[in-house]
Amino acid sequence: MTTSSFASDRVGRLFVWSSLWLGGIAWLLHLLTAWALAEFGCMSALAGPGPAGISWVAWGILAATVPCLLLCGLASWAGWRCGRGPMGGGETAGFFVRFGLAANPLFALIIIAQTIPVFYHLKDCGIHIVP
Amino acid sequence: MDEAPEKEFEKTWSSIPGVRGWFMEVNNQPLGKRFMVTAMVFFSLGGVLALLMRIQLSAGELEIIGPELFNQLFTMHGSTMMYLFAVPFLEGLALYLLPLMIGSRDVAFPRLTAFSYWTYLFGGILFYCSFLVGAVPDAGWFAYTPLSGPKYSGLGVDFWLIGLTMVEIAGITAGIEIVVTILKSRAPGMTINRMPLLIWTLLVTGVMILFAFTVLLTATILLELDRAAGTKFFDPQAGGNTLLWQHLFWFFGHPEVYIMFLPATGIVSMVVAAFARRAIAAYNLVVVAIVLIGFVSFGLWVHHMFATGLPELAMSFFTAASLMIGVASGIQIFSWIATMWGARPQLKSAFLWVLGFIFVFVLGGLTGVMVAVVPFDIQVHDTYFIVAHLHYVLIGGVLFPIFAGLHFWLPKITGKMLSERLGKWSFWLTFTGFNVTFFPMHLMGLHGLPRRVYTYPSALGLDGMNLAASIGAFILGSGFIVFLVNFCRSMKRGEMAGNDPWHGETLEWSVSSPPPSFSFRKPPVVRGRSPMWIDGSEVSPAVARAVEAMDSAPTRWRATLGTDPLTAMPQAIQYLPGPTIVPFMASLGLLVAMLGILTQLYLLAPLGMIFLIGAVANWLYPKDDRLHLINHDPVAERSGLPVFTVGVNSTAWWGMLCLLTVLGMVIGTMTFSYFYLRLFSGQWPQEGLPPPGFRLAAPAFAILIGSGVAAFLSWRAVLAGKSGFATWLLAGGFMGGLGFVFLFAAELTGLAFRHDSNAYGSLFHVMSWIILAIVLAATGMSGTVWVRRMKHTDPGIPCNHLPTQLSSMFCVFAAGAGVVVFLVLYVSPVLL
Repeated sequence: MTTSSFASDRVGRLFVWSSLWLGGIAWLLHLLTAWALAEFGCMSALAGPGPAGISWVAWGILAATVPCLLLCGLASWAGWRCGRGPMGGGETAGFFVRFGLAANPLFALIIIAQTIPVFYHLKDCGIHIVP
Repeated sequence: MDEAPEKEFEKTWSSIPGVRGWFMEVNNQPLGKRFMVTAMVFFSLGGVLALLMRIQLSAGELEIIGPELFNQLFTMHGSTMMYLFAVPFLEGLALYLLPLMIGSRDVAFPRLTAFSYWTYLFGGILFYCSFLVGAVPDAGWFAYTPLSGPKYSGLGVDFWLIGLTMVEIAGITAGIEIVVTILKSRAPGMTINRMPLLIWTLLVTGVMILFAFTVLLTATILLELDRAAGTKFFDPQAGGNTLLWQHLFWFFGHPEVYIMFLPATGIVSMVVAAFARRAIAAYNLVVVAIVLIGFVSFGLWVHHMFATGLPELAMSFFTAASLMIGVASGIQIFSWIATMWGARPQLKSAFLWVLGFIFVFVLGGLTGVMVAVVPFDIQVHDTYFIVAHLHYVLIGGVLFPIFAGLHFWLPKITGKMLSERLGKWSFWLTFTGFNVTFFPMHLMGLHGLPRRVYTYPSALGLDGMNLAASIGAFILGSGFIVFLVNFCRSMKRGEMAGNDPWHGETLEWSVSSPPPSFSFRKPPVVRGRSPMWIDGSEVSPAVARAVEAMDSAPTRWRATLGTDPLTAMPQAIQYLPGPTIVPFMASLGLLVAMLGILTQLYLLAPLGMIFLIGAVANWLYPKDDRLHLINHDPVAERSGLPVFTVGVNSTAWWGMLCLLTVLGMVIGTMTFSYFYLRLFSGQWPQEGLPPPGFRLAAPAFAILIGSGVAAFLSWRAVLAGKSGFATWLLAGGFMGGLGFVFLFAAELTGLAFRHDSNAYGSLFHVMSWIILAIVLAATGMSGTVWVRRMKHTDPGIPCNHLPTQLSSMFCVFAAGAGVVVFLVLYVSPVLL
């Protein structure tokens, strides 16, 4: 597919832009949700125990992680799908496909890394460190 | 080709001579050089301040410089390096190189470049004028509250805040310039996947600037309001919060270091490729790394606040993100190593600086991983370990690439080669001096020496290391002196550089050294990632026609090819303004307004703002004679491209999008501040104030929404060919905007609390003033466009469409921002 026909293929462009941006958006949403829950939730009743003795803050963060990881997976799939379809042959589209296939798993990895600390704070938010 | 059109073309692109012409300059090349020279002057001043500090610290218990002066020195040193040197220098290099590297004739908004420079210069001078009046800022380059608040600090902090406000505005405007130029002005064939890596870093950096600098700009305005107008954002006794400042500052502060680092890595990529004589390895992965850094750098800011008592869980996210961003930096480093592997690069000065960068930055990165871990950071926070870390990453990660870039591109800029012998002396003196200065600081910090202290007890046993550090600082300084000598010598008797002394891979090496003011007489066509290293292939007829038509054309006005952001296919002939005094006048108006606030001669502030608004209105208002000239030029017919465009084909559309992003961040920052302060308040509204009523607010915001709808529909009407109806809708939007302004102003004057009552009152009033100002500006714009449409009723004139679209965008944004403000201020106290 030529560069100019790539530009006019709306569905193709949607897949390509999804592959390009969804991972970053997923990471951003995860960070904002997790931090807001930790910063604000830890100061409120949400810091108390919830189901199975795990705090509501921890449940909230774990719940937020799943859709964000799914979004990264969707973005990677969009990139893979582009690469297998008629879009894959175009130079520019091919670049976006390769970009998405590399970037989205990295964003997913960062989301997972950011979630690991929750497992050390399942029951409470941890002490406030007094300098 | 006839000589006359070529001569006319050159004359159109030439600068106006003399002093008058100097103030009217808008071309990117002289302005880029001015940015770099001014930044280097500030760098020298910041360096002198550092040497003075090192003299004081060379032995324990010295009293050469007292504590008050020492506080001023480290504040001004840090502020100079972070705000007045690093980012402005890189912006200047970007503004100079961008058109050359992407095959354009100039940047997208030349007048904005001029405004950016003058505002930066005035802001920097304002910083240093504090020395003349004995009110030097002394609260650190970060100005933590409450130390920087009205109770504990004097006029010096006002100099800092107001000077910084101007510098941040300059930075944001330069960021807009860089983003839009890269998206819209690339040469045909330079698809987004063929952009040089420096351009990728500048694109990501430009976008980061829009988000990060705006937050700091908002924060500095809020702090100045606390100091000058009695608001209570950061006053805990009135419901404010001192940590709010730290959150806002470091939300800017951490991306700021990547805003400096990313372009530096772009420079390294260009130098490595040229000297290794091969394209950068793993280009796609490096682009992934650049974009990853752009995103994730916004998620690290709390690691500067590990010692403030935040919940462990909150801090741990930022530890994880801080560790993970090393993956992205690592990708770049391994890419450079892979590029150099087996390549036998020439060890010229520029390349030595790159090798020095890799060595120093990797060491700084290792200590960065250490301080990302909370328990370790708690131990070393505010010690010399952190001073060592930040200098390793900033000097290694930013300054070394800057010098690599200077040695690489100065031959292009000046047309003269630098001396390799002096270049190597400069490098080794700097490298040696740097390590002698800063490596011992790791140990000093681990031994407990706190930072920002004017002296220390000799009993600590750190005299020897401090003396070594001070000697190292002077060696480092001598390295810079040698560079200056090298530069001056090359200007006087340097060897002629020729077009391409390094056999570089990118377009700037295809033009003469120094380049002509128009960069490219005929727009180049790019056929790969390394356009200087590959041969040509077939060019499509449409591209060939556009490029041929632009050869030394148009002759009577400045223009460049406007192209698609992804595919770089030609879309339009993009008009570029020539020399004008207006940007200087606009910047002067801003300076007068700032001086009014600084000196408390408050009458100056509105006068300066009126002057600024008048200059900007003159700048933006389309001039009929210019439109006539553009509309009747044969270049449009010859190229098959329009000279008037709308929507994504127009650079103005992208400029408006960037402006709305900035304004959106202002609203976002205020919204965050509102809920942050609310979280830590036992009672909201504070002090038993009643929640705000809806009597005037509800109809006011309803009218505002109606006005936004009218503005949106006015553009739809233009697209549908219903020009008359569009004009009436614009009028309706204008009236609605005015209605909102009057109603909401009446609401604010009738409130039971003031802006200085408590933090809730401060937030309410300031958010309200902001939305009033935005709506007023949007209303002014829509009114102007409405009157213009009334004057030019011929629907065939395309030049009215773009202002209508831009006005529609602004008004719709204003309505949307109004909805957010209404929900936050009026609805949330009831619902939450």
